Amino acid sequence: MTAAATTTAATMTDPLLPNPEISASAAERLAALRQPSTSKKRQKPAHTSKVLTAGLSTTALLGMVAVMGWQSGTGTAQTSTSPTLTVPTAQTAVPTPVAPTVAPLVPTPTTVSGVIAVPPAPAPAATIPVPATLPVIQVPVVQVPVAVPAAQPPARTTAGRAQSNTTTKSSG
Amino acid sequence: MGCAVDVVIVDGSPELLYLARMSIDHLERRWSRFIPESDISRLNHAAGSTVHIDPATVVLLRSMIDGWRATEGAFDPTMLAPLVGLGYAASWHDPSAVTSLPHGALVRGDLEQLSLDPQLNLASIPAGVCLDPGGIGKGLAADMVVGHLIAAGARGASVSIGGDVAVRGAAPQDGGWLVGVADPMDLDTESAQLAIVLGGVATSGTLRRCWRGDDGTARHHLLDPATAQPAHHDREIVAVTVVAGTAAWAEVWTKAVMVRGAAMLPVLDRLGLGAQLTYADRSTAANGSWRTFAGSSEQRGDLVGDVVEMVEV
Repeated sequence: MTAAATTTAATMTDPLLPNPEISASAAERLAALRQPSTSKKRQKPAHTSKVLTAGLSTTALLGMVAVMGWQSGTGTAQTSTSPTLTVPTAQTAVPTPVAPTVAPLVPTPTTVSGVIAVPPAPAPAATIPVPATLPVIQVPVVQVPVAVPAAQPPARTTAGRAQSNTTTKSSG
Repeated sequence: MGCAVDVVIVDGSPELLYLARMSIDHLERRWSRFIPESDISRLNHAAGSTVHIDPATVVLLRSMIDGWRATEGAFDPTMLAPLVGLGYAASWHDPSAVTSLPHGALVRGDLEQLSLDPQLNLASIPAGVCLDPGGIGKGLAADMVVGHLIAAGARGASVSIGGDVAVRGAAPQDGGWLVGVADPMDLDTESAQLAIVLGGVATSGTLRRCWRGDDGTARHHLLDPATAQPAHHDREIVAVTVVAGTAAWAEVWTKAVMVRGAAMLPVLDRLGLGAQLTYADRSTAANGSWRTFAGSSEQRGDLVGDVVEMVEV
């Protein structure tokens, strides 16, 4: 696959490169295309970066850590998945599959010895059958992603350990 | 999903909390095996017919296939029928919500026969195959919600669904996110702490969602695909924690370690995944990659190959 793609790329020609087959006028137009545009580019508003900087500064100052719920003493959030909010649900109706149809082209009438040949009757619209079974997903090679560790491991003694941001545990 | 959810958002508007809750509720409605109208329930009862599903469910199904293949079947999300048969039919959160199995439910299915059309959001599974998102859904949901929060403007976010954690972006403090690892014997106590910039952490255990069968035997919900019975080892494992690039992958690999035992720790190490397991006697074992996230000074015991044995952490 890679080799084929490479070959294809090697045989491609850049339409903007000089080509003897291109007429002189076309070459001139192409040369003109390569010239940097003399039109004045729109300048970014000078205040944009200031706005972003101000936003970041505010963010840094606030240092807001939003938490869901409140777990006494720990500052971590805890809630339940019990549905207490009205949540819009996505569509659950199963759409009826519609078989796409392809109408064949009607052949153009042709004349033979001055006699108009009667074109064959158009065939009924061809139907692309929906496969009875869906394609089985082919996963080439399973790549297992790894976590990115922090530069410094956490403090190791129980007394010196910082408070965890969250906790992993068995829920079953 | 019948569990607690923790959300931490760094530098985001309070409206993002509503977004998080809405996203989790949406996934719950699509994926719960306790909701008859969910995509999973409709697939399980479709008897092989094609079902229109939510795009998020397409991702879930693909993740199931990936996890099943990567773990060579140790993670098997088609074990719903034996799980229900062993007694885990009703939701722990809402006992009135009960999973119904289709007629002719199979003990185990072949995920190679799962068909998907990601463009049209269509899926089908062979009749009798019953999918159970319980082994991956919480982690994947945490990954998705974190992604939504970051895309919506949060500078950093952490989402924990039932203890399966996804972290991304800026942490509340310098040095990355600090993820505590709860002691499986005492969930209010942390036995370790991980420092992660980006990734997911998941823990699976046998001390929660466990029950006794009609014959009085103790049962838990982590089934061994080879036996269709609760995973069992001579040296009993009560919890497994894995650190991976996503919470979904972390959750998948916790199942593989729980099923195949400590022999999987070096396997995960070669993949760059940190893993720690806890035995019933409270001793623990971890692989070398675990130290990348947890440090090494707290680890005690001998290094066995690339497995670190720790005692009484």
